[in-house]
Amino acid sequence: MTAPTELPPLQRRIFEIMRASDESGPIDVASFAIGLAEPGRTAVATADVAALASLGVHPCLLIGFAYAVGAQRPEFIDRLPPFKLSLETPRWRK
Amino acid sequence: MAEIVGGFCASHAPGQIVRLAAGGEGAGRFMAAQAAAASRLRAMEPDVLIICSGEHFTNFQPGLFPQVTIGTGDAHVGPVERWMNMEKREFRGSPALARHVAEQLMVSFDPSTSDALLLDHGMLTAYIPVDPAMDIPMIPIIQNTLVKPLMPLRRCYELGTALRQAVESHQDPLRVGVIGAGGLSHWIGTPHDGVIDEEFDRWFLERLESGDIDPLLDVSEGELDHAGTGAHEVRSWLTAAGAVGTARREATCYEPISAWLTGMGVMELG
Repeated sequence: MTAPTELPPLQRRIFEIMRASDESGPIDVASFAIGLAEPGRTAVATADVAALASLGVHPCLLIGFAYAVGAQRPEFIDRLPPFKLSLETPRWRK
Repeated sequence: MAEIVGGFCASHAPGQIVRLAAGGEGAGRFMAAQAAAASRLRAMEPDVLIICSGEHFTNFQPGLFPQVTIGTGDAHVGPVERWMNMEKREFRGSPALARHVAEQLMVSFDPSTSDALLLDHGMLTAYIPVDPAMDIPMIPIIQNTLVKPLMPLRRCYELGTALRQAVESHQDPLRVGVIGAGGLSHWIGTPHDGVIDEEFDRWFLERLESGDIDPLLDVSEGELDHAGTGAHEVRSWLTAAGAVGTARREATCYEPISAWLTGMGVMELG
């Protein structure tokens, strides 16, 4: 598990990957992994969306990263960890 | 003095662009309702459009994420997404009014400002139907609907009422339209992706339409999670509704469009 202090640079790098792919379409992300700490480095370099999710990367960044590397939606969604919901019952269901 | 003449709220989803046909008849009804709301707003002859939309990591990354950012630039550039299938270009801003609004909001809110905001599908899927010529000046207001802690729903509505006061205190006789873009229920980047909470969507629309909005404004961040990580974008609806006021709120469409992964609604304001 990446230390909490390592999540900000990891997420910033994924943001940069998203913006880069806006310009060029799906990209090879290996070079973007340089300088990142493990295990985030490997997760980025191998475009492992599920591993990034387990490291706490924001869901919206995960989607952006997945599309940036050319992944198709059904391929990675099922591998993502469940979202932790609060225990309160939402009032529209009461 | 400037005045807010009307507006609308509408959901946005990438599927509107890249999976239009897959949305089926519901998609057709949604697009028609949005076009009608946009046409109605265009007929009000707005000089400026204020568009409230959630941030999608287009301008800000998690380590630097303001709650509210007002686009004060002479122009805004977009769309950033290649899949929007249009050339990136400049959209006219309204810097004098934007700066005035920002200054006035400082009394009760603390908005950030930027003269270099990028536009994405969140803004443009609502803006272009109003003005296909893409010429009406725009003031984007980008809201944090992604990175917790988020502004409470009640504060988002109050931001809208403060926005109205700010516009009305501007000395130029500008006609201003306000659009809220985003929502309704949807999940982003989780195994729940594709789940639409119709019960929430209909409850939200009924509360907002009827004016019985206190229960809605009291919904907590944790509660709203149950309608999906993307459901937090309803903040933009509340801000737009607060800005336009209570004269008329009519939900003209609701379609849970599974192919677009999103509960899609349209509400005309004013």
